[in-house]
Amino acid sequence: MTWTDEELVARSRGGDMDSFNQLILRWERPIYALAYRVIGRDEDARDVCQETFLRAFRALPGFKGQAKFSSWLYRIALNLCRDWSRRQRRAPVSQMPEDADPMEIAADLGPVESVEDLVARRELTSAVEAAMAKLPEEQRTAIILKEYHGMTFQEIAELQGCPLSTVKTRLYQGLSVVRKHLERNGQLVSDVVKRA
Amino acid sequence: MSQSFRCGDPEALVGYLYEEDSPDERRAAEAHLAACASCAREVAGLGGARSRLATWQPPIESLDFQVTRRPTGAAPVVVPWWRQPMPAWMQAAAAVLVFGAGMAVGGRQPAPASPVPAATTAEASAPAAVPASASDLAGLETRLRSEIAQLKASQAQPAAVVHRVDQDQDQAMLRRVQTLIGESEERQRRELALRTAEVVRDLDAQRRADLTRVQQTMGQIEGSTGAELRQQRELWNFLMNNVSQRGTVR
Repeated sequence: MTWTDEELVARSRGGDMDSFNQLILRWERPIYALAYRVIGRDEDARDVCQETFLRAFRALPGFKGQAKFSSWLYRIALNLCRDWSRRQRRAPVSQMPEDADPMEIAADLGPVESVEDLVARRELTSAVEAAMAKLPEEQRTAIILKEYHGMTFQEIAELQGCPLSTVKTRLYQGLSVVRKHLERNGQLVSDVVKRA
Repeated sequence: MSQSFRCGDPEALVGYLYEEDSPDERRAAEAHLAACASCAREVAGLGGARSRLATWQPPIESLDFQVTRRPTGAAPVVVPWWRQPMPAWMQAAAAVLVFGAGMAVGGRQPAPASPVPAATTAEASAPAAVPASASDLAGLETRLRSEIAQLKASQAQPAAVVHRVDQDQDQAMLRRVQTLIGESEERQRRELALRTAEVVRDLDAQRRADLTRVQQTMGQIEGSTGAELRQQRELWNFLMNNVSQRGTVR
């Protein structure tokens, strides 16, 4: 039987540790992906992810269900990412981690690719990472929440604690920077030319 | 309809781009974009950037986070004194006490009618009680031995359980390490394949560049050689003309 998040939270608050482990299993990948894209480092993203669930577990008695469990987790993770950025006092890393496996990533994205396509995809990924690393934290986070986590403008506004219009502006400005960067690197223009 | 869409409005463009606008706003935006090339170009460009963002994926890794209880070894468990294991000397003392009590029970006789001092009563009754107390003593000894054996068994049992748990944990850890090693080897193999492909690609590009350079150089050489031949041919023609003209004059 598949429990909802709310049911698992209720059981966890009653002391059922297995229920909380089910919540971890359900949400560890999205939280890790969020931390990885915000921070840009695999190991630090793992640490943030682990700390997120640890804090959530400790704070579970105080969680009254006023928000969705996932939103609550995202908020904890974003706060930890922000703390990490302040501690490091530097921009997110733009290169892929050493143990990242582009072939595996590419394999997940589609059917078998040629070596040329694979290399081209890797170059595109690097360009996208570099473009995202250029963005201010607020714009970067807004784009990540929208593009990779499918949140609505309203959900992003609540997570970032800002008006709806600010979220839209951040998205517009962030996307514009990414677009210009990709065009300069030939990752966007070439495609436009191909289409033409 | 198009009056509700402000040309170049970032919020309206983003709302249209992410399809988070109302039906009316969407109709107005579509009408405007059909007429305004600048806004249409902007939306197309932002859409292109969005499609590129989809290629950025985090490394595929298994996290396997779990909340677990603190191991029992970390916090001392308080056991009531009556459930704590009994020392050997205490077991021996208890055995002596039980043995003495059994002797006393086995040697007891009905009280005589006349008052007799207790010491003399015990001494007088002792020989009469001997045949009955031998079997009692043997039974008592057997019972004591079995109880002590049970006590030892009950003390040994938890250790065995803990050991089995430890063995399970070791096996789980071993399996985990083997899995990690396997994943690492697989990752290295793929990385090697990718690096090899990159080297092959670089070599191919270098080869093509060299070929182009060689062809260009050959073309230059052919061009210069052709020019020299042409000059020599012209000189030869000039000389021949001069010789023929002199012959004609003579």
